[in-house]
Amino acid sequence: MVGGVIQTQDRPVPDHVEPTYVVDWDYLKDPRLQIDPHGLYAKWTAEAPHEVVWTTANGGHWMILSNEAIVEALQTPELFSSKHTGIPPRPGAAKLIPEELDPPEHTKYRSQLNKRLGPKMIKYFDGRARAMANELIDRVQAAGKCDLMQALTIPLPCSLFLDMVGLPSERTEEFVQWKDELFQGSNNEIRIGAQQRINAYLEEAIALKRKDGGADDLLGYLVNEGRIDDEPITQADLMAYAFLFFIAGLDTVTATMTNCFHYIATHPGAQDKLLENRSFLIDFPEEILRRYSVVNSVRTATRDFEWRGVQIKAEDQFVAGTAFANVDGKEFPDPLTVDFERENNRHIGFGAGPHRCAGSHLARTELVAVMQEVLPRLPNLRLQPGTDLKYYAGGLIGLTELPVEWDV
Amino acid sequence: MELKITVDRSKCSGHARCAMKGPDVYELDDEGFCISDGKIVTDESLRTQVIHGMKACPERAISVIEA
Repeated sequence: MVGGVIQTQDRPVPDHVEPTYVVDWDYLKDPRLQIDPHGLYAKWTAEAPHEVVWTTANGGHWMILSNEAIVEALQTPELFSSKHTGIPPRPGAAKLIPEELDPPEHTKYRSQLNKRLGPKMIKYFDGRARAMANELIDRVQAAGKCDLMQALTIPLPCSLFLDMVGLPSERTEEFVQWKDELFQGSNNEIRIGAQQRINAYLEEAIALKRKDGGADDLLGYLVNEGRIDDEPITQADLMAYAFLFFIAGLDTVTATMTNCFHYIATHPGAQDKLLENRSFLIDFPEEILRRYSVVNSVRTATRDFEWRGVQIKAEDQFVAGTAFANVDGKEFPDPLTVDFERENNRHIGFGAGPHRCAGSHLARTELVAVMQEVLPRLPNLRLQPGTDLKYYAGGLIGLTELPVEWDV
Repeated sequence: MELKITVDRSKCSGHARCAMKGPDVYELDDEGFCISDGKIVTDESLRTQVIHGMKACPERAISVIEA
């Protein structure tokens, strides 16, 4: 037995897995994830008997537990397919485009997005983010306290994202509710109902873009000017794109922005240090993206192959988590410490390889803009007394609320 | 001094971190991919930007040789 290594309970460990590579670590349901997910990832990464291990949890799958190996897997779609984004795979679910495609198919769909989401295109959103941040803070500043997620880190990224896609940002609250029902609905009926509402809405939105003919926003562009194999994008593909926007744009920036403020509210002196040296404010979100990464991606083996000392069988699944890669002490010394001046911070908070987050330039713009505008306005930011924070942690990782107070 | 930058275009996936750390050295196309493969930097004052840009690449796509 190597630290926590056991034999399986439910499904037997497959014959191609050596017994010394077997653990029982559950990255979806371990109760410690609610308190300190990244601490647990760092612990597993440090204690793993090998850089690739097989866990008996969740029906059995590989866990990749070194930065180098995770980057390699994400950069090698020929062997590590993106065809399933969940463990175990969700049979019959509609494909997420382009997230669940592999090159060369992926490249065609992805380049349609890259054209509209490059760093230069995104400049416009810097001003929008600053104005919106100030408007939202105006509403709560005098009160001296709020749940910063409800007040700022949910509405701002969602509105900005909807603006960019070309969906009405006045409806942010309603959309966020649909999305929450879809993922966290307490029963199937609620979840299916949310899915139907989202699809019906997106169908209508696509029809409106078609009628309008414009291409100023992302959805309008895809509907009216997008081309796959020199043909207009089909209705089914447009729906798949739009559905992914809906679910991808509404969670991850919220989670990261919340993590930035959470760090400041729980580390006395950090806020002053950031405000005294504004250049830190550029690197600060990068270090938070590393230390508190918000995504653990999944890959599926395309065929049998040998890799880093293990035999892989076609259809084996892997957690190739950016949140694991970014707390590997071999790549990032003292990985759980936030260091504003960390050198060589080649973190993969936005993933790596062809699926690098398409919205990363927008996200970075927003994060820096919001930090610069909001930190001076909420002096001595701290958690409200008695606050007991909880994470949701699996494929996506984030806090559920952030009750803070500040000096007025 | 002479620093030669090599960018593995098959690995670059458009993070644009090189240009954030080395804005006067690394150039990006409209999608954020680095187009500075083969660039030779002779200005000593840009050395830090060259090195920091290389070391910030999440894909490890950039290498620099002292020519």
